[in-house]
Amino acid sequence: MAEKNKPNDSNIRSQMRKGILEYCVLLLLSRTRAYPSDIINGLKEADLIVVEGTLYTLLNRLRKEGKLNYEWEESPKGPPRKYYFMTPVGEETLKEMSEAWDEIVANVNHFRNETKQ
Amino acid sequence: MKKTFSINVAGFPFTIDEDAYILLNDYLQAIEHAFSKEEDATEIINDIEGRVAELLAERTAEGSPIITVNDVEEVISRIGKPEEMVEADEEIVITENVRTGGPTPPPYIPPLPPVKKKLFRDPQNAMLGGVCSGLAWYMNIDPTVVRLATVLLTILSASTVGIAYIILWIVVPEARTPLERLQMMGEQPTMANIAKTVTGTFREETGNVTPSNHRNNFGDALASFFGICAKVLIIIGLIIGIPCLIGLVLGLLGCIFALITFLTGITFDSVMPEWYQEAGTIPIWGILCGIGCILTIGIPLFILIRMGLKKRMAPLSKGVRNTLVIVWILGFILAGFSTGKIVNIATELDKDEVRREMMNYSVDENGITILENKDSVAEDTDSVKGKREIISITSEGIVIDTDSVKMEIGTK
Repeated sequence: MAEKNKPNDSNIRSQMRKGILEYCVLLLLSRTRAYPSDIINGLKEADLIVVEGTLYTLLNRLRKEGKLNYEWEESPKGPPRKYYFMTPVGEETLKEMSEAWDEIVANVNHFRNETKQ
Repeated sequence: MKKTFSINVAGFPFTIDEDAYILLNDYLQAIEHAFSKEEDATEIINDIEGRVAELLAERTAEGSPIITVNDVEEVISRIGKPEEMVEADEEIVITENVRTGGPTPPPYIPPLPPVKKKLFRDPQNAMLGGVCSGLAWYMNIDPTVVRLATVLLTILSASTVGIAYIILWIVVPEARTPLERLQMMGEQPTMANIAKTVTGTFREETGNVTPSNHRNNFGDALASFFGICAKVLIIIGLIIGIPCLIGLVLGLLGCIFALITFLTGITFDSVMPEWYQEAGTIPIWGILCGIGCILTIGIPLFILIRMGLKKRMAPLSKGVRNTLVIVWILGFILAGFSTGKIVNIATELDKDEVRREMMNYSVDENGITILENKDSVAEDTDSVKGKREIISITSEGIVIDTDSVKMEIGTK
């Protein structure tokens, strides 16, 4: 499972961040529906996003894959906003991703502890 | 003192100063360009534009109501450069520069592969169509040299180079966006460079032609000189071109009439002037000429009409453009060649006519008498000048009476 994610070049961080970003966006949206700027603020707090522009392409892709959808909603100021929410497909994906994540973290932690000793 | 504009970004109204406006406009254009190949380009672009508007609104709520270059730069650094956003390519070139707020130095950009220069027309330094200036960027030489060479060669080559110029004008696209300008100059498409093309500092740095308000006197004089030369060339072109055009239109009309006659059997003999009818007696070449004329006039007309339509239509694809040019050239050659043929045949017909007119003949109860005036046909025959030749054909026989020969056949 973890084999294919082997990073082989120098920008490991950005590679990892890219993969994790998708997971985090799904996590955020599993709690509540949100519009892109909310998502950005949430990700910024966790220092997970470098440039905001990447989020829009990601959201667009996830929507195309059927994991997310959006609806228009009036905003208190300015034009209407797109509110994104999870679809059943998205929830399924999130479950799989969470399992994979737990597995990786457990394995990596186990490995780190072993090498420390 | 600075100019300001009122703009509307994704539904938010802003007041923005000139430099900031130019930078913002180019940034949005660069994004549009970067996403243009994606499926849902407009949606992503609109989303990003919405975010730009939101961030700008935040900034105006906090500080000055007028947006400056600093505000725009800050927004750009938050949202990111277009090349960082496109997800399609797996390899993201992101610098190890996690932003934690506050202004930071411009990020280090790893050396990019050399840019492939592309030929564009340069509208900002254009004298006429920007072709020479674009070529100058492409060949990395001074545009004045290219202009001088073009004008000289146009004169020397009997305007072949001038026609080539017009073809290039049609075929070569104009560098409209900053990215295209950079491709034209062969520079890296980085944000810093985009900003430079906008503020006009590029030309000063590279030592090339400076924008009009910075031009030195000598350059100024030269530029206006070539501008005048170009205009003179156009006038000469019109003087030559208009008769050609009239000829082509006449040919085209002839072709249409011929077609009507062919299809319906209606003839126009009584309506047409005589010379025009005669041209119509040369069927194949007439039709070929007509086809050539349709192409030669039709294609530029089509392009002109397209250009004239104020609502910008999707630009013609390269393939279509090239085909049009090739077809036009073929049509032009066809029209020219067949016109030459027709003129040739028509002069032949004319000669016959002259010969017929010069033969006087009279018909009476005795028969036909042909009186040929040697004076008039001296060019065609070797007969002696000033003598009369009489051939009479009667019921009794034929009499040929010249100075050197006197022949009577079958007379009593």
